[in-house]
Amino acid sequence: MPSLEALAAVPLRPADQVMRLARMGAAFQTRLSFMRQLLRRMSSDRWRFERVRFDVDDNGFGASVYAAHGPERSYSLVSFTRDIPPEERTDRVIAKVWDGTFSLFDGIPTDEDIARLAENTPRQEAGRFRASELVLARGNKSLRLFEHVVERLSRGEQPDAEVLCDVGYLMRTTAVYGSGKFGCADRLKIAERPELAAPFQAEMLAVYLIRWLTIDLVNHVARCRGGDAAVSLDPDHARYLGIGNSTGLGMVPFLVKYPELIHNWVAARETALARVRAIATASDADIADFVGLIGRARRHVGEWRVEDAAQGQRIDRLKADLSALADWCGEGLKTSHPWDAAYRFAEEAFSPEGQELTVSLLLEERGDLVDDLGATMSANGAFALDPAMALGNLKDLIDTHYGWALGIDYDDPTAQERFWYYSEDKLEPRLGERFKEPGAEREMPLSVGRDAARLFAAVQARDPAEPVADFLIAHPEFRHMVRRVQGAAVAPYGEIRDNLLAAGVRPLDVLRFKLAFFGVSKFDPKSDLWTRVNMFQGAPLPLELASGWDGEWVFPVRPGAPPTTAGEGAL
Amino acid sequence: MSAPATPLSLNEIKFFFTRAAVGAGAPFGFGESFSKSLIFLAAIGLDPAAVAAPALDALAEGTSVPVAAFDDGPKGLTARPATEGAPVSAIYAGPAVADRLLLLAARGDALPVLLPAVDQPALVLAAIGTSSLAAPRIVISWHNGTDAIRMVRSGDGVDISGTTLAGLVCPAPASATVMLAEADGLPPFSAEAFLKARSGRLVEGVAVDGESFAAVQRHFRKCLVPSTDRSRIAGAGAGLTDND
Repeated sequence: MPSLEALAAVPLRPADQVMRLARMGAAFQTRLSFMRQLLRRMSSDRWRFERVRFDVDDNGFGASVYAAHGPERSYSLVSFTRDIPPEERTDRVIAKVWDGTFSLFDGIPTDEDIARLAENTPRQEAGRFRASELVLARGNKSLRLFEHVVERLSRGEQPDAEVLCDVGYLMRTTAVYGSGKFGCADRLKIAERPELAAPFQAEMLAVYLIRWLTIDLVNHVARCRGGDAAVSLDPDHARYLGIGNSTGLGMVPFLVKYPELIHNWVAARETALARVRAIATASDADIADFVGLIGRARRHVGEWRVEDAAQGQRIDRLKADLSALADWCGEGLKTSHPWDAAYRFAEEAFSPEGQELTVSLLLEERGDLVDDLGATMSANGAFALDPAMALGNLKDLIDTHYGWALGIDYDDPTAQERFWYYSEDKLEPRLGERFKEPGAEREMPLSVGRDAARLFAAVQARDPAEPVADFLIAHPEFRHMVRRVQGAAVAPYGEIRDNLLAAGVRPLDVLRFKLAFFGVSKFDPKSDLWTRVNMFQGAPLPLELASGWDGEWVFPVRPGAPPTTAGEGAL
Repeated sequence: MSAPATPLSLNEIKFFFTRAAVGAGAPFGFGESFSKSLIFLAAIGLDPAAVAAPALDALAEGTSVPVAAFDDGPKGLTARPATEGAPVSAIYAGPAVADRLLLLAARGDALPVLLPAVDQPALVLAAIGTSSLAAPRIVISWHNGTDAIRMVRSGDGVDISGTTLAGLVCPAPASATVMLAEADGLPPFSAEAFLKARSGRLVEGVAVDGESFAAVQRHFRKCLVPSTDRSRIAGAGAGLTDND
């Protein structure tokens, strides 16, 4: 590992650079992402997987229980699949029925537990859950791919890899709730379990088991349809199938609500990058591995298909960036601090997506320097308010960490054209137009920039020696903002440094940032408000994990695809 | 009291009660402190909805008001209500008193704080308990018309005298005194350690009285925006129909 002196020579990227929406909206998964952490742990701890129950009919409808056994505890995915009317198959929170509904149970459920969940899990938000349930989720099939795969398998053939590539999953989740939602277990219950200590591990485990179920479902339905002629998905095709996810606005309030947590995510990634950039030399083998990884990333990006024109252009630019990086490596890495040179080359020449994918690539090969940082990504507390702080010091903090907010003219209607709120309709998070729709007086407190600017103005008008405690008596409306500002001093990456109320705000950027930390791939924006993505595509199957999968699975490419990049290194 | 409702998770307490305070008229930051205080009270076994509902009602109706200042006096500091003669709302007074004690501690001082009338004194102690004030022992005492009640936060627990747990819910505003007491060599108090020690009580959910929780939800719903055709179609992400 580089010395502390070397690390000091490569400072972390500043929050003003990495916490801007345009940068956040270009994020990629890294080996610190949560699903990557989960699979590494399950592999190293040799988790076992068991199909405890599979009571489904010939069409794949029924109940099933899939268990994952860790060294100390077991977790079970309890699933209910059913036939639903096509016109009711929506990804929105306001949906009332789904093809599949799921609970991640803490342990192995009894028949009584399953009967209780059968009454509640299919009702989702309208059901009621106990602390024995860690996660509540639901999903809808990709009807096109599900039917294609079943049809092919039932005839004894593997699915068309091109069709697999188009969609990439048999089912997409439309919500994955954890941490105390609807009565499920709070984070408090699991935070000290080593296997669930990193963020969102229970949620990721649930999704991983859902993926297993979907593969079993197509095999089962194909067998029922085709009889002896049917075959099962071969491992290469099965591994290429991830699980989809449809993500909307709900992730935005989450990111604003937990600045302590978000800081820890970003600080871990940025520390990892600084560690890699501080490496003084690279061996020929290191360089060959890196070039090979770029080649695989190029093939993966080549299979990234979207309808959104803007994202399509970004992908084209990304392909060019990766090509340039591959060309540069031949000479560029033959220098001292080669990985720092690679990053600086990307920063000077590439698009934001090209830069952030370069970060992902740089981290990928150095698990020895990176993986321990996964343990620093949780947060179990919140900032404490310091009422003794003098207003002069508070003002300095605002100046330092909210400078981005102070230059905005909030009297300009476009600066706060939007407002965020919970709808009465199933508490669905929505984004409204302040001057056209009712309800702005009930907006969520996502107006961080505006509130920081207002706080700054109020503080400027007072005695700098006045303590915060006295100020808050006169201005109680700033209590939450004072706490945030004080927190930013110790957690500078915790704040999105852009105006979430602005006319042109793209919630999509926030969604992508969070989803990248989850570890998803193939961002497929459907508007500025929502995106579909793929989770666990390329990940080892449960039985492969159990038998000791010791590789990584990043940048999956479709089965049977020939290398398309000249000079691609061995993988 | 009606039958207990299904237990709430801590996440639900934070979500519903923070916004219920906002719905009742408190700024969001005080709502955050309010829900944290309720989790503190749940950790000692008190139904958070039972103490929250009257505090929310009083604030929403204007019968309890914010703290306007702390006045120096011979017996310590006295909280002055925003409206003369009105009781102060514990939703405001709890964090304000905690702030005051922290400020005094930073100056090496430890004066008593008097609340001539406060609607729910237990919430004040809870707000202090969730703050970063590390003083080993803090006492709040009040009189409910019949009994003298004391809540003492010390060591890693809370001792109550003069009433039952349920009796901590005040039927009418009371005059209360908050003071730092002799510590007897106790270690500094830690809210985090306190909640950790009581996690066994909290992890299976917190039972709340159904009627009281319904009252809390009435305030919570004031934070929701009615759905319109426009917002239903254009206000949220994700497609309304399947298309992949």
